[in-house]
Amino acid sequence: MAVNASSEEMTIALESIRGLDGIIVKKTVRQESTDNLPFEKYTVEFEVAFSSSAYLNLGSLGSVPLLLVSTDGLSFGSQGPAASRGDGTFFGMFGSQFIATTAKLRRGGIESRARVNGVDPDAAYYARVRAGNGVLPQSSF
Amino acid sequence: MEIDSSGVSAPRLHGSRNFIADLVISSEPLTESSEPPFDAGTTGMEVLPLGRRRLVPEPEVQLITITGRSRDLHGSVMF
Repeated sequence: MAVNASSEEMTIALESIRGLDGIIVKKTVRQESTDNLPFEKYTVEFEVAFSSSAYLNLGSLGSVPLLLVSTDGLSFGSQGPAASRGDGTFFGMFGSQFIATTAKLRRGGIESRARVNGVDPDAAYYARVRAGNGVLPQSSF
Repeated sequence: MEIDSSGVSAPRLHGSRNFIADLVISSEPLTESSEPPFDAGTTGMEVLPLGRRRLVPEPEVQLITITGRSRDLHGSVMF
């Protein structure tokens, strides 16, 4: 995947992974000045949102495995090794040293706990919980 | 009062897209043949729930960050 890919290209690339669809990608580019060399830092961010259909295809309701990234095409992790021209980890890079990382901004899923305030400590209360999948009629438990 | 609904699930079917859970808190059991209470917490024969929440799935969001020391980032990464 090209570092300068558009959000649409990133979406298509991620959805080409088997079992993944319903991806929304938002791209942000930042240029920051630094006090020391190299005096500027250039950052490309892709914010990837997984819809509920992605959970179903992955067989997981909620949490999606963290995307792993590689800058050398060999090792994958939440942070790819720094890649730069001539350091042995060069991987299609035509600029200065760069680092790629992945992280979870928000874990997906349904809240599993609910808090009810303002109840009388001496009274008895009853909770009814029901769940549905959008296809079958809802069921109570 | 805290209710743990983690053990509640609905049958999963191929092609189903939504998992929705309702949580209703009531001062009376919602069972058949219960005596209709007539007290300050009710309206006629209907027992009003104290609260109701609809829990819908929140999408997971992950962030891919690629940082370089110059603006000429023309490399590529693999996922």
